[in-house]
Amino acid sequence: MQGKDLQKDLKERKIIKVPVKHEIEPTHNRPEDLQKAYEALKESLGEEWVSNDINITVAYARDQSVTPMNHPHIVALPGSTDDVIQIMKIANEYSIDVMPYGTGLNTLGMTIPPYGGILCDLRRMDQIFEIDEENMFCTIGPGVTFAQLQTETLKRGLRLINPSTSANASVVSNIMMGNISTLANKYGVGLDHIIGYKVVLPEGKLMICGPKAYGADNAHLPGPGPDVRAFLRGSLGTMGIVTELTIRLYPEPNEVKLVVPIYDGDDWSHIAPALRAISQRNIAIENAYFQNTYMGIFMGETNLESSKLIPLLPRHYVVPVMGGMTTEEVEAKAAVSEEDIRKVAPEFDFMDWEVVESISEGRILGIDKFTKFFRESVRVQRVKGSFFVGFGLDHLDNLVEINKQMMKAMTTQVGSDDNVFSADMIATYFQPYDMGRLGFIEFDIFIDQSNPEDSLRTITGTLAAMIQSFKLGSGACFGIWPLIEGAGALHELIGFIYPQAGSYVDTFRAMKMIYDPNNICNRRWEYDTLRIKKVAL
Amino acid sequence: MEKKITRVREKLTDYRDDYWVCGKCKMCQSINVQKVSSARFSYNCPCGTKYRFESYYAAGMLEIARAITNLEYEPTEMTAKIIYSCNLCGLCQEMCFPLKSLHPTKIIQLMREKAVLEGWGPLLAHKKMIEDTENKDNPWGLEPGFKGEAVSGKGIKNILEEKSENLFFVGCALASTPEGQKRLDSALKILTACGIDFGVLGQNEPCCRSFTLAVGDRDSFEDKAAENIELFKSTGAKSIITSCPHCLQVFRDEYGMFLDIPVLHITEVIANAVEKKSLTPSKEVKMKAAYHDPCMLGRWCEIYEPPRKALSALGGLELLEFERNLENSWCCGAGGGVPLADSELASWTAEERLIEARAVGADVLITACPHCYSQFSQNGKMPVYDVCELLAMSL
Amino acid sequence: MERKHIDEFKSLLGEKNVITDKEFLKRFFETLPRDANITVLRPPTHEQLGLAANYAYEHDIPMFTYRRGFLNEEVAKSDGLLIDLTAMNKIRRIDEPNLLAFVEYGVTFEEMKKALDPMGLRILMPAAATSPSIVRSYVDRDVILANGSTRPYQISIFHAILADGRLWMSGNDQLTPDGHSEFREDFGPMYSYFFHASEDIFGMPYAGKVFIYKRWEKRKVSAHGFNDFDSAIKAAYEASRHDQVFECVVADRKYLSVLVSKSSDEAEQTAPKLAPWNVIFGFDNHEKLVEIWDRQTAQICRRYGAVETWDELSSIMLEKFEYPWYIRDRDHYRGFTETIEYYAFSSKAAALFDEVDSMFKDYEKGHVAIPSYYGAAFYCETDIYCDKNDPDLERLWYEAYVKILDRGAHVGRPRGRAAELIYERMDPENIRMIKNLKRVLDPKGLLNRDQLIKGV
Repeated sequence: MQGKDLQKDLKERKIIKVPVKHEIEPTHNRPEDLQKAYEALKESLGEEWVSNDINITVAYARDQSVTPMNHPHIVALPGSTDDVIQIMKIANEYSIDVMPYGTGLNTLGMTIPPYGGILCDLRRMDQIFEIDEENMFCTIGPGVTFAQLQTETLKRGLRLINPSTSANASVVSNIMMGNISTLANKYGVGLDHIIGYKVVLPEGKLMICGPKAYGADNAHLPGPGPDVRAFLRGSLGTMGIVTELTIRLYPEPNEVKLVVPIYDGDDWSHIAPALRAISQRNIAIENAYFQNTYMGIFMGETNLESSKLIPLLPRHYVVPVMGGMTTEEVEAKAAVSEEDIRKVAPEFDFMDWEVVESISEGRILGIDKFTKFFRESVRVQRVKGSFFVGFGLDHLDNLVEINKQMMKAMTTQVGSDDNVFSADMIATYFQPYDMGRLGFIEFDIFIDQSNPEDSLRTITGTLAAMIQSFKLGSGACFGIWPLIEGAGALHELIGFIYPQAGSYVDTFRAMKMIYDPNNICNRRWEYDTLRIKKVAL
Repeated sequence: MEKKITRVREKLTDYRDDYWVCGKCKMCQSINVQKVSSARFSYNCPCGTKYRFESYYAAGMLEIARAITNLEYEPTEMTAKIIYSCNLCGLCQEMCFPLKSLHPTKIIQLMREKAVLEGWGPLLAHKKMIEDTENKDNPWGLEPGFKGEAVSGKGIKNILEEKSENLFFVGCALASTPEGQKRLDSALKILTACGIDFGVLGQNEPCCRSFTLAVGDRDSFEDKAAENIELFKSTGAKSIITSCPHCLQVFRDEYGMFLDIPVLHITEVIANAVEKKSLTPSKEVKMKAAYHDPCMLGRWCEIYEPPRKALSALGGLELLEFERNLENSWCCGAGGGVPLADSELASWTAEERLIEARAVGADVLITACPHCYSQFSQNGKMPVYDVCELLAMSL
Repeated sequence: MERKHIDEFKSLLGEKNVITDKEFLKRFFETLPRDANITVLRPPTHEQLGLAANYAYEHDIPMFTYRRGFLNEEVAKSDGLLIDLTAMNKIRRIDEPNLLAFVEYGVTFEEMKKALDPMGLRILMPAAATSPSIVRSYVDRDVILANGSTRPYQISIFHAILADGRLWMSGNDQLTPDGHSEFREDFGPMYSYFFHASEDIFGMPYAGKVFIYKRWEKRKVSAHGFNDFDSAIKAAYEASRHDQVFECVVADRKYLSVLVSKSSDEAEQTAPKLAPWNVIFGFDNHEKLVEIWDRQTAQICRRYGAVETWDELSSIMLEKFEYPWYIRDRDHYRGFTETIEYYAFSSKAAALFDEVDSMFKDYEKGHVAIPSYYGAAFYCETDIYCDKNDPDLERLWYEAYVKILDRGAHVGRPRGRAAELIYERMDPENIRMIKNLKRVLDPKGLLNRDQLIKGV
């Protein structure tokens, strides 16, 4: 009976065996070396923290990106910096690739090992080593999530930079790579939060940077001398694995007040002036633009609630959060912001908080969600599969045109004039940085990823939108070179599209080759050809 | 007897969209982040937190489901080890479903059913339990008759002989040990004090087979379920009261389609009596205690308030809340057949909960599930009480 | 230097921009050695700088950039080039809506202020400046007066010429030609940040996009006196932590009296009018907010026992905040001002000041502390007013650094012997990293050899 069932099952569907992909003529990750490395890892880390079982490797083979699935050969769970050093040494000895993995939460397939090898899952390193309340910093391991750290810092009157990602993301990975945040306008991005770290370099050597590199206190400022801590930021694990990170924390204000400027309609030209007015004053702790789709997602506790809320909400929101020492101060800040916005963008109304509460039946985008953390991972499959294009960086002035072109590219697909995605399926999020000097723009498309048609449309739309955006002068961001390097045609085009990047890209390659002579750490291309080697299908 | 299914059978592949769509957003790897009060107690999944490989979390198990249904590899012993390390506590689904509309716990359960159908599950220890349940009608292989002995001579009506308004379903756990029988006595005492007209099935009381279902043998579960439904109907009871949340869950969720008798947990009955003031404890019970929400009672049956209401009637009791409480409650380790297959994991899970109890300042742990009770009391590091036991002490 | 090289540089940069005249050289060296052999290049454009660097690189000619003060004798005798970028002095663009100014190396704070004032804009001024060049000061991470609520990197993107004449652009300018985006970060490992406080060993930054700020409706400065440093720094910490101030400076009476005077007599007369310690807050925002902040910070100061100070101090500091505070401007007092500067936690600042004081017992000293990152750390500076030729000065200065480093002080941009001291203590991999990047960008080691660390 059981056997018959299985046979029936097999007959009904095609057998699509998807084996672990290997290179055709591997120089790394050779079977005999893998076995030796596996034994050495077990010896070094303990048997329970290393596995090459397919049931273990399968869980690291795929994420929600369009990156092709691939298993690592071995998964290792280091528990300490020493363990990571051992992994790197073993990997070098046996020419096995190493893919660092924080909590594995990303939308770009960044932890899927292109050639297999060792996947270094850092979640056991989830220690919060120190939170210095008075001097406002903390030191953590790469397995610590935003939820865990923010909870502990808030107890001490300190705020961690809120991520616009899932609260279950690794703080270290996020800060080392992306770190889009509603607080970025005031407090900065990524590197601005890093005081120092310990990193295991690809050859297994330990490097300390920041003040602790010479035994000084973590006194926040970069240095000494050349800012070595920038080495790992944006390197996507190609240059080593951060095992301890010291980051800055920010004072949690005594009082907080939310101002909600809103307006309806398709005219986007009022958003940038309003955002800029708030940003330049430097009195809001947080500042961002949300389309109604986003707002509904934040407010609703469930998808269903969100879907009901979205059409009820006005289309455009700018959401500055004021912080201050006293109620009088936050009230005054709110009034000043309102006055500023009215001057530059009179189309805005100011939402009565009671109305927001009544629309959302009490489930409001409360201060607590902002000040604590987003429960909802905004981009990550919010509504049963979502896809995001978050690359644009530009002056606030360019928002209108970029948004228009992006929306057009997203809604009008290649080979079709039909609007395959309605405007409400695409949400724009705009985040000013550096007190309104520039911004980060993001588009989320809420689709069903299991629907191949939707996925295809999204991919074609995204590519079209990216081309539009680059034409308009917005840039890619956050560690794009390590991703692009070696990426076939894109690699060829770099020199052509971006001649100014030449010396940087040469330096990147040269440093990679110096620091990772065996090309094992997040190996994405070959040193001899500087391209991705063809992998077997 | 004609075999009846209790509810529409589902197949793992019915949830294809779920396991293909899961984007490893890691929502299933923490309690609700808005409710996290400390990093130490932010973890939600016992097997994931203990073994740490992604495969032991819901996201990884969904990936295994995807790979084996996509015939990427044949399930192995390791596949079984992983999927049987789950307590089916439901906390991953509690986090995932409202936002992502996915059903990770359901998928793990269906993977087990697939494993049983295809012969690569359950684990050896579970097979013995299934056999015992089938042969002796209780998961521990005790000789039949112990349930009758547990209630005999206590002046309790046998509902098959004497009509009663309510059927009190004792459950295997309370009746199986002398120590459990003490808590059974408390339950009987409380029900009587509440003025409830109830009877028991005595030695005719069957096993609900929730453990058989949990380890994936739906055939065995359904065979018995059909019999049980007929038996319950024959008693003429207007409602069924259970002391065990596992029995409650299968009666409500699995038998529900064919059993039109309301099923209540005993804490619901007590809460009702407290509300109506028909139960008024007189003695103080002085202790600082934390109430543990059993997974089956809380997340599975959504009964959070009644046990608290019942405990609120006790004078002298300082009732504390766990950091992970209500829908974020950490499992005791007894669910999903884990203690049979991986007793070390089960004990570690219980130990974690007791550490949390101490962290919130409790000297005593209270629960409303006999399986949680025995899991915690085996640890021996903190006194454990059942809700009924405490109330009985106060009468 | 060989004639043919000089001729080539002249053809590349123009006759007047290649200078070998010894009289001219004296401005770069305290004492020009007799056997000085160095040629000064003053490239007017970055293209010419690139061509000159490329030629020098091809012909193995050492290059040194003029950064500040006087260069050492070894440079004078190097048979190389001294590259003075101050001839590149255009304000390329003031982007008012986006509050960015694109300036070349030679643009000074004073020139920028002149250009920005009529537009109602400002640039943030450094508190321990050694060069009037904005690019130099910001690349060197000079401490900024409004440091408490703004971030240390006041330069967004910079452009540099590498040793071999190649162009290096940081941040988004790697992708888009100038004019679109201003994102500071490189799109991979951020090597551009290595250029900061590096003594130009990696490349020669010749222009940068610097942050400018609006002047708001209300500007106010308030000064509060304190009898002890402990109370003063606590008040400054609390006001900064609550994000109440634009500028915040904690200074003793000696430092302030020297700062605000033009002669030693004036300083002597001013000192007694000041409280032993002074906390000066600057505000610049909407009048409603300025009023609230002024009131709230005054309350904080009262709570820490504030006392009277010179009533003219506020108005004087209002003016002082408008210009850079050059260290050399304080030489009027005793002929020379030596500084010990570092960052420390607020609670450790007093002990570190004491440590330095104990080394310089018989010297006249001024102290200043400026909060960074909402008071999370304080820039601490002790000024030693002395005779430059004092035989003990160098030894004491060195020993003072040893002492403060032993107690955990963080020196953000070490130079000279302090740099050697720090790099001795440094994690060796960290130094290897600096050396490796140097080797990648300047394999021949021709640019600013030995200027940051010996051997690099």
